[in-house]
Amino acid sequence: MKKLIFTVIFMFFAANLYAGEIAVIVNESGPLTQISEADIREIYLGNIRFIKGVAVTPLHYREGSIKDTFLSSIIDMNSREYRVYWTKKIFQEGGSIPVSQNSFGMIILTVKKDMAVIGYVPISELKETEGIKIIKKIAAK
Amino acid sequence: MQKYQISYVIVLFFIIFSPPYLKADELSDLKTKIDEQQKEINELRYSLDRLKGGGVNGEQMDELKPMFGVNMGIFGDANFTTNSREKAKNSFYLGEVDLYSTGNYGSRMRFLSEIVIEGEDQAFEVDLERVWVEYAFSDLIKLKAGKQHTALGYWNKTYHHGKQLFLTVDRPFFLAFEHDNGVIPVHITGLEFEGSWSYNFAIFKYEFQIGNGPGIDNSHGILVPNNILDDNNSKQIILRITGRPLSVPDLSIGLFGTVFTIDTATRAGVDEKIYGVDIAYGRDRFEVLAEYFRLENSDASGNAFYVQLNYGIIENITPYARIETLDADKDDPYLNSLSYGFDRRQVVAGIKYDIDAARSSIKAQYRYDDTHNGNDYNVFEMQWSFGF
Repeated sequence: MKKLIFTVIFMFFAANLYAGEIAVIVNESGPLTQISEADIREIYLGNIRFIKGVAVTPLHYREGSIKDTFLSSIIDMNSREYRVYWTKKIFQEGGSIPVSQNSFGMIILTVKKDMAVIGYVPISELKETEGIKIIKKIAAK
Repeated sequence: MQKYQISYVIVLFFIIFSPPYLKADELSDLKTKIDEQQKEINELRYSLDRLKGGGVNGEQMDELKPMFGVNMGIFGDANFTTNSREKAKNSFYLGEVDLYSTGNYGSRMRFLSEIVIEGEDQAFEVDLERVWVEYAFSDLIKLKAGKQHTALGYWNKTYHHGKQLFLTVDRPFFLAFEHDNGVIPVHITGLEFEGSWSYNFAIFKYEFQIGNGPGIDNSHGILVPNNILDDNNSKQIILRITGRPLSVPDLSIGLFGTVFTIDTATRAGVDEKIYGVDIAYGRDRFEVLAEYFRLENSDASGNAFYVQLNYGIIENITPYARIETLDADKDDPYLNSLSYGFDRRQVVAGIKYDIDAARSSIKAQYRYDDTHNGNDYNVFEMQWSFGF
């Protein structure tokens, strides 16, 4: 019975995190291939807008466990904190919150086609990595 | 009829007993076809998005950053207070209605405007609180022109007029807006250069502002930001440098300073210097803010500081406390020209309940407002703020 209660509690708190591995991806011949994890964080927080003179476009996957895992691992925020952060940021400095995409395929394609886009997808979705460089792997939770 | 039944049986026999590898091959072919079709759909979606986005710009996807995009928002608040230094009677009152809009043109130009409608005595006034345009040459050099908040400390650059984003009911008293009897100039009209750069151990940011310095409205004893016309030829200069260690990214430490020339009630052309330090740290549900200001001129000096602490006991309930003080010299021509430029100390304690942290909150706050030689006040305040 105790085990069951602990399992339920664990599942309740773990419910919003993705169980698989996530890859942060960029274009393999773009300016983002050498960036650090701190740079990824700063890009998604809107504090770094340019890399080597090129305007960077961060992409999110839609709301859900994959985005939550990315936010907690890289940005160290939950989705509520991230939304409040951007509400303040836009009010202070203008700009807009990073765009979200509904399909992994679109994120992968956009990264392949655009030198300055950064995104993240489950590694299981990366069947072809031509044109793409994985710059960070987020381990399964 | 029997003929048909026999042929069904034969077909079924072949389906059931056909070699499994044939089914696997078919499935594999089918999957490849679906993958190819999915790719084609993605390519078509991508092309469609590019067409919708207003054109192709080499290697940049401008459709993800619309050529011209505008956000609009409103902040507002409704309040109740027992009698205080600011409100002589127990009162319900309207705070500010803050209409703001931000826009961008491509990836380098941004705009922001903030218009506030607020109660002044028994009437409402409309103020243009911020309006600026920015061009980003790079992360190291961004140039802004217009009216904005002075880079004097953390609070003034982080919180503007939207009370929804405040933890407390109001700003620290010495950082109040000019017409609310603040003693630090919080608006400037002019230019700002801003940029950030990172080293191995920290990320640094600088903000350099040059613009019209404040004046003093001697009939009301308040600072006046010279938005339209400066009242002297010297310009106010402000510099703030902030550092965030990479090992503790939630900590920021800032150093700031300003110089300006101002005509006070007792002496013209006072060269006023204000400088100080700010520290902000926030992690999980804990946050601490602290700022110290030193005000100096050739005749006297003053000090002001606040420390604010909060810890969210659960996700949407945050108790907080703040102490804030101003020590003024009685010979100070600058502070003595301001009606609230006297020694004062406040202790604030309250609780904020977030209905939705970005959209609406309710705050209940106790404030002990103490001066050396004047009346002291025990004030109970409530605020319901919103933003959308």
